Amino acid sequence: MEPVTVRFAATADDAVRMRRAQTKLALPRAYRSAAELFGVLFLLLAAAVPVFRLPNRWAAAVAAVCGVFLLFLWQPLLRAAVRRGAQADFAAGRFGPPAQTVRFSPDEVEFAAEGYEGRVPYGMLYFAYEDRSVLLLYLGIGECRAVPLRAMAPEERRRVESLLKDRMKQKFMQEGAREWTK
Amino acid sequence: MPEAKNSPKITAVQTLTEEEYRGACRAAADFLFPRRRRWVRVCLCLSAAGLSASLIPAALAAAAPVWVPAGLCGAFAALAAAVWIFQPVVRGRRAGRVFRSCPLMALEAKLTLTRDFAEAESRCERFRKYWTEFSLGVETPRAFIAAGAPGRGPLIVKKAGLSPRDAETAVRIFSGAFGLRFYRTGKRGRRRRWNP
Repeated sequence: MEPVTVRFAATADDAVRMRRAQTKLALPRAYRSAAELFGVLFLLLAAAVPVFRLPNRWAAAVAAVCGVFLLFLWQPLLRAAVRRGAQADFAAGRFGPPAQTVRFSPDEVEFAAEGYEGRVPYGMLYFAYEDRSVLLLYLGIGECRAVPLRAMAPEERRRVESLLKDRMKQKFMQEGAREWTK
Repeated sequence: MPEAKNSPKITAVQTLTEEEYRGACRAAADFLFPRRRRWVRVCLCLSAAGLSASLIPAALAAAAPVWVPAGLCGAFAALAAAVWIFQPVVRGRRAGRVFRSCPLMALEAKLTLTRDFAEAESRCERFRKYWTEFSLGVETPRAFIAAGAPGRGPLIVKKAGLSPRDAETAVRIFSGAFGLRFYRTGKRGRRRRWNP
């Protein structure tokens, strides 16, 4: 199989997409749904106080605030904080060198950037995650290299996906997949 | 720009173990986040326990329930004991998990330290980190540690692989790179100075 070479210069938007994908990984859908469920429960609790003429009005007000926060404010605020943090980190140069080359060979991934060169076998990668805009390759906990998918042609993207599925098996995760990719 | 003729430079070949990585992370974290040190947290908890205990006479005088300040005092004291016992365990486990997640860290690597940067080369990768990327340097009885750079954990140079002369050169390099942000543990006393 012919290797796929991706050359790109990351932008501030790429940094935001990468952070967003990392946040999605850290907060799986189940957690977000649980927060929404608790929000609904708090609102129901708050509504029950006037409906059933219960005495605890202050507790109902607090429950209403918690419900509105969990249901409508928490996720937008989190997204805004992630976006702002990513832009600040990119401006401060904490995302590493913007120009990078990543080459997906049959046996290893090759990275080339200013100050870093690596040929890492697929078995040594911690895991990989792909959402609609970015592919994250984790060399270990907390060490991640991002490849923007816009830098790849659709055909190249398909080849990379099949390569990662084949070589990394359960360690390759895709957004929307119900379970680890087999 | 060409490197200065007399600029210090050392080379070492080393293989890190999980235990060494844990120790280095612990030493680096103490200086990167001084407020998270174990004794700082324990002192905070004991202060809160003392404050709660001081409210017991007031509760007795006001005929208020004594169990509230007494319970708070006991809870804070228990928290202090838990922090003292479990914080190193939790931190060590976390560092161990990071080390085990990245097999690249356990590979034999050739380290080169110069006045401006550190370079590491193993069979899978080669990278260069400038000292300006790190927040601080620490010298422990077992290693030199540069910490606070984004990405991988701290850069660790084991003293076991260095001759006394190289260790002295490493001290000069770290002193020059970090100045007052170069800390030493295990040896109390004066801070080493650049170009003594």
